[in-house]
Amino acid sequence: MRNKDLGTAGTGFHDWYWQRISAVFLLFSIPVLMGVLLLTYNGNISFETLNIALTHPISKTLCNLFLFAMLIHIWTGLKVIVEDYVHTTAMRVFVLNVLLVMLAGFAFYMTYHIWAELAYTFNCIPCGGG
Amino acid sequence: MKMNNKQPPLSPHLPIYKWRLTMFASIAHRMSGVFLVLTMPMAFWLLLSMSHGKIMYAYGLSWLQSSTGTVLLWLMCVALFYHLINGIRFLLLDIGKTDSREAMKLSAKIVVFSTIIFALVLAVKI
Amino acid sequence: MCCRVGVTIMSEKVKLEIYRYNPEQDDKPYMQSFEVPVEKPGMKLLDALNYIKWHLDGSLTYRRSCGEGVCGSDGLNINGVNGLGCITAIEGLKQPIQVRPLPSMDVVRDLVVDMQHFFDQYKQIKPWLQSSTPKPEHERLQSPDERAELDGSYECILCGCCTTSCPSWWWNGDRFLGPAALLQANRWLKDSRDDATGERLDDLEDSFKLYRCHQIMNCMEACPKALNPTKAINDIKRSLAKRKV
Repeated sequence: MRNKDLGTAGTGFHDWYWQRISAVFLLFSIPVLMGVLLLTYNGNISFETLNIALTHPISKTLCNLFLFAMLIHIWTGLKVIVEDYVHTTAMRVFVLNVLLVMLAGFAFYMTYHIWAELAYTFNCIPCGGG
Repeated sequence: MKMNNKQPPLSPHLPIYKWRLTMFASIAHRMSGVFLVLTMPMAFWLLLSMSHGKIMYAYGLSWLQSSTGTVLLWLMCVALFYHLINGIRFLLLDIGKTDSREAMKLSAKIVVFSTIIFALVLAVKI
Repeated sequence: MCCRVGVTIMSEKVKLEIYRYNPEQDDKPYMQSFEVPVEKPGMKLLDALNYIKWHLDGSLTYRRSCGEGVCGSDGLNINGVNGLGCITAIEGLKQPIQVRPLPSMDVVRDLVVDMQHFFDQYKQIKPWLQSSTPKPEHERLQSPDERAELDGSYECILCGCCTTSCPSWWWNGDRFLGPAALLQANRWLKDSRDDATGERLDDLEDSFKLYRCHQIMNCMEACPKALNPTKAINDIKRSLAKRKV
């Protein structure tokens, strides 16, 4: 465990800060998401209601913001875990970058999903509204 | 006396350290977080898909109401509830509230036991 | 009530299991059982260790000095929790009492661990007054309020119970400064006579040195002086946020 003092990297504050900013945003948005999911599960939210509630441009914008807050929170959280348990620099760089690519891919895909209404894209079925 | 150059043993840590509630509250925050990383994006995707088409809605609902869906939904809600209220506990500490020794221990008790109650109530109500 | 449950009587014996390792003889550490008579009411764990050393096995090795919780020499892992042997009463401890060295340290012999790295980390936070004002004739004065800011920090005896109880320090102790050093870092940040606050904060802003703390609070639970290193670390994080946001 003997080591020299290598000085400070000046890092860490931003991870800590953004983890908390995204946490506050999620604090208000996640209960809404879970409430909607539970009510849908219980049959209290019909397709028509869900469709109107989630495809309105304002709710799409909110969904997109929620997505980014969630991804920031996931990234900062997983980064801390990787830094805790992965002990070589090479492995850390590898794991963190794989995670970053996966999360970025998910961000693009979900943004498309939010705005393009995939049901149409897959030609599934005409939507309830139209 | 013979010379001894071997590496000294490291004294035992995790396997022998007594579990304290605050320690459990911290590791549970991490474990529920990892579980939510795996399930939350899925739930979000599912809900969006269900809002986009009638057939997806029907598929999604029948999957949600299947036993796998129900158990996953319950687990996710419990993990979320815990992560949420322990998250509030951590945020309060960050802004310098409830950070006496007694408050730290009491708040750990509150979050753990209210999660147990929430899990039981949800298991009955779901 | 007080005299029935858990109170040991004079002739009673206490069972202990003690971590043993002699680098000259043993390939690996092992636990050894001892039975020690209760010689006096209010007997402490250190008294039991002394009894073993003086009457049963003179080779048992441990550190102790003042025997009253001031010097910080006999930090031990007692029944899974870190504490000082000299102020931990035998009474109320579950038997056999498991006594091990402070966790995640290089064992020199039996209960004695190598504290070098711990004190190196203490040195890293520059635990001395750094003032830019000329040296006064007598002393640097503080108001009672300024002095009260140091309550909860100055009492630390550097026994190592907190730092070696911290899982974050177990996994990343080569870089994470640990609760004891950070409590002291905060002590100098709060000292009204110190003028190096900026440099001290610069030295702490590091995701490994400081931000490994995840509110596990083992340090707070282990501290024999009832201090709160977790709070001190959060204070430092807030100080960093204040000058940055």
